[in-house]
Amino acid sequence: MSPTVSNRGARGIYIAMSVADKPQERVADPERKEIFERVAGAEVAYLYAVALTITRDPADAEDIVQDTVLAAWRSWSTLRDPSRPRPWLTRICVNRCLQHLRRSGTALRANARLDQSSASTDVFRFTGELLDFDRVFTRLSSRQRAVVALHYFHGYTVSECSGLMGCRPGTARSHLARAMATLKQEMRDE
Amino acid sequence: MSDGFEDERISRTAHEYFARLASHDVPPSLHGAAARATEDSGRRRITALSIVIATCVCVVLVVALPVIFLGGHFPGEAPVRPAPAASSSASMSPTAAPSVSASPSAIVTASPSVSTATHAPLCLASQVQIGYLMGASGAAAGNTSIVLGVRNNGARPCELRGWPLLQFLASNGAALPTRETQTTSNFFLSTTLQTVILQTGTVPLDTSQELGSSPQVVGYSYISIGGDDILPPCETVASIRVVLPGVRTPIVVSLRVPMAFPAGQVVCSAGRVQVLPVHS
Repeated sequence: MSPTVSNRGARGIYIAMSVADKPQERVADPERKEIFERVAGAEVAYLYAVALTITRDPADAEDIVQDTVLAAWRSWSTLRDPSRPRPWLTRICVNRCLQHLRRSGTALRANARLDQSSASTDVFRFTGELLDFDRVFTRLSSRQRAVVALHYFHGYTVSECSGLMGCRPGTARSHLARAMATLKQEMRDE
Repeated sequence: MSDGFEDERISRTAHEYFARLASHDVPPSLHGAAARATEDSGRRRITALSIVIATCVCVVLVVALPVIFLGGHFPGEAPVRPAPAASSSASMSPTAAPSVSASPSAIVTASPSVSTATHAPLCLASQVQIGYLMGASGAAAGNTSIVLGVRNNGARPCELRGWPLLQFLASNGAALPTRETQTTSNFFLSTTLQTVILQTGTVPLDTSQELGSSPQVVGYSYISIGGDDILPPCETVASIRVVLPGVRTPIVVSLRVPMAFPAGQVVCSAGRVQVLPVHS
């Protein structure tokens, strides 16, 4: 049983569920904690990879994953299928990434900060074509970065990306197309 | 350059770029993130409760103070003096040793509610040793039990919490089918998810020790694996690759015991096993 996901424009996602159907709330608290710790603990590495590929900053990704796990625990009772927690957790994580990039001003400002501190570049030691890609990728908007990472690396379809990002499939497709156009153009110029 | 070729180039570069990003090591602080989230949430509830209590106390004081200072006590009644504080020096003394640390090599098992008081750094693969405890393992009514002992070889205590990840290996090192179910009870043993603090080990791992039969075995903690040795398909497991919770580097543990099980242990049901969390 998977949660019914509805898109609500740019305002985000909500999980449609009936009040009566909350199996997690019937579970005793210690057992609930135990299940959460096991399930969420197993997904932490994956969530870190998702956050890192979108934000491109290890410290930010670490904060986002901590935040995601905390948020997941608070609304754990709304997860209807604990055996398939990944889509639900990923959705929270992607939303947190987008929020984080928005909060740091704009993605462009965040990138300027990244460019100034060479620490992050040193961590990954990009050279050649990867360095070119890195320069262009960090200039993309937050949503463009998210859709590129989710689609080209994490293997989500554009429609799934839209579900994770809380936008319409057409919007996600548009972000991806624009991102690709920028990447092509800029990498040709680099 | 054609668009198709360029698309493919971008796609390939993107994959390589993200793969490089994703290969970055998960920070150690995230290993216990889920457990901390549940504890933090509890602390927030306690904080909220404290605020409510503090508010109530303030309201009571605001109402009661004018009554007291305006002579609100009965005639002849002595003003109430606060009783001298109870002798809390024993419990508050920083030198008071916790009762569980009687033995220098004892494993201190803290329940989640008190684990914050006994936290230690997460164990590293380089500081722990895992060995197969033949004496503690066994078989009954078609069920088999494999017990591994975990010992701290480092200089400082370290913490483990959660389930290990296992991979059965054949004698040539090839991976065998392993279907691990993380649970808190199997045919032989029940336990709870607990924070295990491994004190620095002074007792070498002894594969002939019975679980709990000797005071010597308190020097390490355990990984208990339950399976069966009847339902095919069966495999002979020569060793197990173990990834301890919060530890990235796997440790290979041999299950071969000369004279007893020279080839290893038989695990059936296509590698289906019930694994308990690391316990004391």
